[in-house]
Amino acid sequence: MAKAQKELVKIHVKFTVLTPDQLKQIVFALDKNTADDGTVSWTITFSLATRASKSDKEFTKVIDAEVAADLKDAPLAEETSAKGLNKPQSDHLTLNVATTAERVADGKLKRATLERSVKATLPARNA
Amino acid sequence: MRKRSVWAALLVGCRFAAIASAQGSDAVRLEGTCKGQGVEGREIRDIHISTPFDLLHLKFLRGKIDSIKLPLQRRTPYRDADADAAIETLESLALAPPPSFGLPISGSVITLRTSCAEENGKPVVDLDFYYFPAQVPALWPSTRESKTEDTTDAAHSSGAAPRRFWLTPTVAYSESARLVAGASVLVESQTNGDGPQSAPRKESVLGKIDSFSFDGGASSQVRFFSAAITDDYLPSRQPTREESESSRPWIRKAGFRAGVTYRDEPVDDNRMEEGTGFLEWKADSSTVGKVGMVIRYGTAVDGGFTRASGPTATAADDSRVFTLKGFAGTTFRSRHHTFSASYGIATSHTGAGAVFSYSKQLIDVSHGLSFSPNYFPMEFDTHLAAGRIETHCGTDCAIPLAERFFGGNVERNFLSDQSWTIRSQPLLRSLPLNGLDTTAGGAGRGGDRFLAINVTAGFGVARKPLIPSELRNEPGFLQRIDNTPKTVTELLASAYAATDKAFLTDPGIQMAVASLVPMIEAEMAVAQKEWDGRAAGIPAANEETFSICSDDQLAQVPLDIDDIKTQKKPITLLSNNSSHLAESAKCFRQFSRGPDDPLIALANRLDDLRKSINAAVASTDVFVRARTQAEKDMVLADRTVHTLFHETNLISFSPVVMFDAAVIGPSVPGSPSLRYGLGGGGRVTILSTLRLTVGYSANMNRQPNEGPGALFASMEVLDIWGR
Repeated sequence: MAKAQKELVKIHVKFTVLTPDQLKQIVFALDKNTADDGTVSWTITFSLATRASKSDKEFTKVIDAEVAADLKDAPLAEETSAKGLNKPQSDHLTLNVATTAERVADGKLKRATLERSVKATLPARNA
Repeated sequence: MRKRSVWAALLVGCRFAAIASAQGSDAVRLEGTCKGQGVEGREIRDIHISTPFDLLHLKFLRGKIDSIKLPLQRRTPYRDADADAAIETLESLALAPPPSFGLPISGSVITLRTSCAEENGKPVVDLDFYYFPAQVPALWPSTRESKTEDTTDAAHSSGAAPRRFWLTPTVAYSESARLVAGASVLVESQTNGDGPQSAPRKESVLGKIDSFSFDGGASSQVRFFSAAITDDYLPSRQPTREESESSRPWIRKAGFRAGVTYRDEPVDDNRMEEGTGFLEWKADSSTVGKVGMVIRYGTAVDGGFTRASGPTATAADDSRVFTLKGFAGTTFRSRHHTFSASYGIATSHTGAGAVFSYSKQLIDVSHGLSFSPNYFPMEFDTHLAAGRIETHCGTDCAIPLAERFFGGNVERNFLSDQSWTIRSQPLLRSLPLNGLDTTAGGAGRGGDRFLAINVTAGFGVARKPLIPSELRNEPGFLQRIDNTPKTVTELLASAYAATDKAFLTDPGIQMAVASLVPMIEAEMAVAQKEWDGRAAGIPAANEETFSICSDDQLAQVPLDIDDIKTQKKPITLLSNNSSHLAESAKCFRQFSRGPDDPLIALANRLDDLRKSINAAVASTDVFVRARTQAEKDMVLADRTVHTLFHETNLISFSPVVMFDAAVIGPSVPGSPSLRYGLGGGGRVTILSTLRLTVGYSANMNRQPNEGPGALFASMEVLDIWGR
């Protein structure tokens, strides 16, 4: 029997980076979802995990955030998903978002600040 | 080495059947498109999870995938949220790399495709997950010799092979050797449980043995075997940055190999026999430059006996031989090129004449060019080898027969295993094993010098790629895969830059911290006062944006400054283009009342200060150093991802054309010494299963007592047990 065309409904791209001191693990993921009516939506996931010593096998999650990308950022999400993160986005994640995540975990900032910082990873492409 | 099996034909049939069956079940199961139809709530008829590694016959991987309990069940309604949870489960469980696995980076791409149908009048949906985990093993080889294994046995070469015991039946044919049947056995030691790429335990003397290998074969004309144990030095999988910088870049990995070898084979009407015990040490440097060049070197000592019999054998052919070896070279692999250049020297003592009776020197240079247009393998290999033996005691010490040079269609290696090849005999595929044997020294006596060039070109005419066509043709899929290493490089470069010691030591950056940061602090204090004074007058429609600016950006700048002053964070936290300082300046402009508004002037001054810091950082090598380190870390991963997704085939068939020219000397006066051959053949590769090469090369300047050409065949079953 001839194969029917399958519909691609979800694409999930995820990157995990361990900081050079090997004590922090940063996860960034980008999900594309296509609804039945063809509507496309994007979700960004960020998480920060730490461990006290590099000999510890497991990381403890400090904080994570999952946010829907703004509609206006959909082209940037598509470009980021296809081409990968560029330098300004990588700098934004490893510096601004990671630092904000630590401050939210310490109670210095509100969680909404982290979610907006994660969302800002897409427009940071053109920063 | 795992080579050549008479049982391969049967296995080939089984593999073809298995692959066809797997493809066939897909064809029957998938029926219709879901476009325009509601998937939510449809009964799930089937769930299928695949990875490119699954097609490498990695049974252990299939077992792990099957053991994953997804939050989606067959015969239950499809829920989109459950599918998201399934993706999360898939990437976080059995296949996720442990923290100690290779470099501290990983990436993955998962896709979900749906196919809708009706079953007994009920709408159903089939789900097809495709999972590609991109992990970066620390010890991916970067040698010319590793190219073949990467494209034909990727599971083993990437360290994903699960087992520690390998049995590889082999079969080969050469006219003078006849049909040679044999087997290879490899037993590798247990690891510390962190996965196949983990460094072995080293707790006792026996625990230092990383592997045991045995190769043997025999025919009516030849007998050979070798047995060896190895002890490899592997770098720590979790070096700190400081450890990485201070570690010895000239030894990325090193290893001892000790064992015995024996061979007994014909040379014209003579026979020669050689038995040797050896201890060999080899090392590879870290990769050098963007191309990933590796310097390798080593030394060996071996001792044993040589014997010969036949019409032209001499008493000197029966000797005890003690040899010291040294060897060095360089090699690299890029996407389309492989290169290797090696030099080897051996000085031997036979008991006659001086301390060292003779020396053997070898040069081996090879280059490979390969492309895979639309997955059709195109390869062009050139190999140049030369050798010279010189005696150190005149006519008092003759060179034993087994030590001399003979040409033929069997490749001989100066070193003890195939991880590094320095040819010790001329390869001439138009003559059988040791078929080029006559020099001024006599018939069947071989030469004391040789020069050989071999050219092999293969052009793929049939293939079935590893990556399914539906995914290859999916817009953007391969682009996403190809860009995974690039993203990882960017993230790694940012991470390296953020922890660069120059932030603490560079005078320019220190000056920026000492002078510019207080100025930013002062300007921000003024700006904050101005900002706060406007809070009451912000229109209701803009209140949320104003509040977000206050909470997300302005409130964080003083925290950033504190972290920089206390050296918790690098100064780039303040100066990067989407920093809280940069965004604060944007907020000032957004809420300014016109071009003369003091907030505009403050924003401009803050931007100038931020740019001054960036200039101070840019004047150092922080970013260059970080990018260089990241690119160096990722060069092998980038190449391997490309090989897997753009070159690797489940099955491929390539016709092969070959040309050889070889000479051994000193030549017989009045007789042409150069031999050259032209031939062709075919190569069949079944990924992770079989490599088969059959060919015939014509002897283009045939001499008396030589045949018109030679048939050669080799068959290598990569893993008889399957995976």
